[in-house]
Amino acid sequence: MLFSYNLLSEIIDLKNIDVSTLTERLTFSGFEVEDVLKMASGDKLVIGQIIECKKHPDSDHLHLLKVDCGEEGILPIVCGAPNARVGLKVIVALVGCNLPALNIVIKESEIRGYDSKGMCCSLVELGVNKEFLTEKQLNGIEELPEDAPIGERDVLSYLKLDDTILDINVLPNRPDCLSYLGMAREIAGLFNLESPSVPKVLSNDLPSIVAVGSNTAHCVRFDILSIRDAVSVKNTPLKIRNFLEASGVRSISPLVDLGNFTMLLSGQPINVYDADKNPFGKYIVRDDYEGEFIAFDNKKYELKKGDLVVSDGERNLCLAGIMASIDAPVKENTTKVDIEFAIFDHVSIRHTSSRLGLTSFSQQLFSKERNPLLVNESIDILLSLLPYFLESYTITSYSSYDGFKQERVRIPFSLEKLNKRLGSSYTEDEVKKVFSSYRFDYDGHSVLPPIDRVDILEQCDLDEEIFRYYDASKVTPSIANFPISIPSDDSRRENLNIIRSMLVCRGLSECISYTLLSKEEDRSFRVFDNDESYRVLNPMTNIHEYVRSDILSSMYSLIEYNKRNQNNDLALFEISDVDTKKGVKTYLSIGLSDDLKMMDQAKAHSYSFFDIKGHILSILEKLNINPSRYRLVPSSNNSFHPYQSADLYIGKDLVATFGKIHPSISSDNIYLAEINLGYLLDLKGMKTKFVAYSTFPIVKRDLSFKLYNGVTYEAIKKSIMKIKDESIIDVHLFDYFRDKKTNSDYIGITIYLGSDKKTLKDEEINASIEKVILAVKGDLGLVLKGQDDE
Amino acid sequence: MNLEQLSQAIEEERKVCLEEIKEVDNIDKLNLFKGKHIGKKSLLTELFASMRNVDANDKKEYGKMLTSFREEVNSLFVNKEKELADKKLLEKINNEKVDITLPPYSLPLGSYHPLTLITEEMVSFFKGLGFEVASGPEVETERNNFELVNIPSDHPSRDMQDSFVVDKGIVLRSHTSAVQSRVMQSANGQSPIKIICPGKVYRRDSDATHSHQFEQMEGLVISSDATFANLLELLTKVLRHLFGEKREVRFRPSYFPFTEPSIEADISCFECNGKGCSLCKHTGWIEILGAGMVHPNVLRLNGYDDNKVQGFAFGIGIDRVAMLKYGIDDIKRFYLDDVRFLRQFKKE
Repeated sequence: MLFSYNLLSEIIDLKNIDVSTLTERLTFSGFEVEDVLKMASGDKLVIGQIIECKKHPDSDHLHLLKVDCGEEGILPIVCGAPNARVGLKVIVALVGCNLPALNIVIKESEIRGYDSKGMCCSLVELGVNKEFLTEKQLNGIEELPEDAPIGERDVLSYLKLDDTILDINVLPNRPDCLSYLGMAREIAGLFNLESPSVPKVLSNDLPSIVAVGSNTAHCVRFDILSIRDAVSVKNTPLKIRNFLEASGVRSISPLVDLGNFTMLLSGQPINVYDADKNPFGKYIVRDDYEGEFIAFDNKKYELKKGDLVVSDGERNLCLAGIMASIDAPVKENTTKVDIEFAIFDHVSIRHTSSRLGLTSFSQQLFSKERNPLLVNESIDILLSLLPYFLESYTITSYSSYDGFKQERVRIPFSLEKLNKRLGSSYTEDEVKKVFSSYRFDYDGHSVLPPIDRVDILEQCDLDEEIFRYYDASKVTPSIANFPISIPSDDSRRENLNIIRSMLVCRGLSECISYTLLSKEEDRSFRVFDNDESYRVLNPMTNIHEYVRSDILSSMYSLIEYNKRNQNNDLALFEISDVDTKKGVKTYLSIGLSDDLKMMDQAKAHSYSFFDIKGHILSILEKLNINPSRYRLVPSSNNSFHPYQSADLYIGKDLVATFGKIHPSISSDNIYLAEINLGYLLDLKGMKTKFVAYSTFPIVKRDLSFKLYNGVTYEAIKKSIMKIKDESIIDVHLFDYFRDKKTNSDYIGITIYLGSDKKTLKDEEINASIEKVILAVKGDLGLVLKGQDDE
Repeated sequence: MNLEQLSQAIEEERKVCLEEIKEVDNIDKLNLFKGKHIGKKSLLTELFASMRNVDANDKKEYGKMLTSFREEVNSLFVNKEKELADKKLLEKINNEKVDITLPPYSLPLGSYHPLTLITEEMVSFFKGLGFEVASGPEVETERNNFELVNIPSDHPSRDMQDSFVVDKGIVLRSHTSAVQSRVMQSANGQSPIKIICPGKVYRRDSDATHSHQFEQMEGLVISSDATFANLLELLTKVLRHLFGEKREVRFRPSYFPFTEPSIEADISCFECNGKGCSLCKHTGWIEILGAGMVHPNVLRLNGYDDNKVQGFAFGIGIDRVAMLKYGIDDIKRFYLDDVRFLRQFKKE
């Protein structure tokens, strides 16, 4: 909220407290001053009068002026303002004047051959907010009143613009400070000043002619003050206009300004009714209206039960606390007004205004909690302001509906508890000082806060008052009493981090992408789950509407995005939790594109199915998941190339799908994988147990077979490993090639032979190799290369 | 042959050997030399054979002279052999010269996402103090996300955190505080609780410093006597851990519905050391996190007796820390994942 320093000074004595002291103290007691602005600025200004105005011979818009500036003499000024004319009193920025709003210093200059020793200013050039200026003020130099004193140097204070605006962040727990009176009370507390009080003005003798009432518990207080024969002043006084503007409120008319200024000062929302439009003289608050409501601007809203309206018994006069109806607005020349001071339930106002999307200054105030007892001082404030806005008036009636059950409870307070909770050592005297500064009634073990402090409910709220009153350094940081604990097993997270580090070491870059996807993206790639994803009912854009239940489409989008930005040869991964309707899963996706590049960016090879397979199997190996526990089958996922993709199963569970992207989706060399990493992390890996190795030499024998359709490496390996021969230890691939002449495929395998008891003899080795050749021929029909029929 | 004759013969043979060894410049010639002067058909062998016919008195001296000469010739051979081997090795080495400035034959390293780096840096700090890492779902009940952390449906601060609604009573969590209530609920009133909860959160908000998705890390400590002073100590230390030991840390009172008293922590600007620059908006300070003593209402709502336990909580925006620490200009970069951005972050 914007606060005028000058207006605060009128309410409390800020003589010895300058803006920077005030700003510092407020910021360190929970009221962050986010900005300090000058209402207007300019240091070498003077009031002058134009005594000569000629057209510049070489320009169609410039004027050559002579301006009488009193002691400064008569200055020649070249001026482009259309409203420059003889006799006009103007603001002159003298040579050397610093104008921060324009970021310039005025210099003596020659403009198209004529000397200019100063500048006639508009208020914009002094930094006054454009929003508060009229079209005329925006388009020309400021026209001062005829009685403006020529030669006056303190121009800003003459214009009542010598004010500083503090933009104070009032946090939601302090609605009382959304008013000058509340903020002044806070400042008085912080600086030990006398707290402002509002003199009682309202006479007890007024009759209650107007009928008021409420048939809902959501309005506990509803007062109407009736003023008749009201004659507005011509203009709201300049000083008050400037206060309003400093506070961010535009001056409209004296009657409207009266309401707004009272609201600013008291924090009490005010509504002014035209009494002519309420011939029944009756105001009833109800919450049972259902149907159409036409606002003063002719917009229609559908009201429901629970929305508060003020009615005259037949028509709705206003949507309570939010907006007047088409029947209610106050005419410019009205002389009979009824002024409402009400307390509506803040929750109800919030709900109605947010449902209808309506906000206003008074609605914002009404949306915060406020003690109904504060209505009284608000009425007094308005009454004391009336003479500034009305030339003449008669107060004819005051009617009050008061359904508020006053319940003021003392709040128990214990200094010992305070110090135990904060680890502090505040003394009884220090506590007393805070309570008395803040007008809290303290008796040594309980506190009664003042009526405006609706935020003080229990001891912790008092702890806060004490903490924020003093410097934060009063609580000395300390580790004393910090609880010691032994954390439980975190191996799942640690293993996840190990996998992440391994992938980084294998050359992949980690990504984090958006959870919310468009409908198309959400449906495009699915590996584990084809169910409907969660959908956000209030998305900001339909690009981010669905809560992804699979992360592969995000990976594909990242690859596309990077390739669009000329980033090729990608190796990316993402690890992310996804929230599906079946629960939270932890998935890992991998994306490879184009070529594998070495450190110098030389190409090692184009990525193939076997690169992505390598990443997947290394994860399983790292987690100590034995190959015998999983199996690979050609993938049935139609986002992948049918002959270059695989599904990895453990038991019946699909754990990963990986391979080349289907050529119908992209013709680029892209490989994708999605792994249910959470599943793997939750599996128990094999226990590590040392196995003694043979100390006798291992012998290798290479064999090449001609392949026939369909025979796989895995089948050959299986066929060999099931031979009952202890000396066959292992089978490795050493070559796989296609003879271009014959178009036949050949596979070269290495057989490892050995014994843990002895060195194998040649005959034994040859016998084992014979068994291998027989087995492969018997099981699969393959013959050795060279022994085939060619 | 007498001794004099022998001496003469040796002298002549020595001259020949010395002459010939000079000419030896490869292993073949060396072998020829060996055959001719040391081998079975050499003069030396002949001379040894002639010892049989030498006078018994001279035999000892004769033998000594011959042995000594044999050693002499042998060493000519051995030295030459070594010389040739050295020369050959040197040639081999000289032929193996590489340009060591050529790039290594190695895959380039990948990179960690900067948000991971910051998260893990903080996690390792807090794990060292015995904190556990807790997590929860991102699609969360309004009850966990709001009600149980003292933000009832009519609370004004629901406006501060405009959340994405998935269903009636179900939202995308708007802060990691939602995990707090889960942990407390499942602890059944037991203490101490010492957790941190890093994770993604979602709010309807978007500009250069706000993204509808960002990451937070929540911390919560509940025990019989964990104090506000503990909180201040912990925050001072973690902020210095993240931003450097020289950072000054200051605390300002603030307001959050789930803590009372509440604070915000600022660190002295690491760009200008507090003098004022564009990073710190000329204040010398950078706002970094929010924290406070757990509101007794939160304790009561989650099954604790607020007369018996107390505690504190804090929340740090991971994206904000990463932006500050690495000088990242736009929060969207974290989620666009351009590799020219990603590859700049290596160290964990």
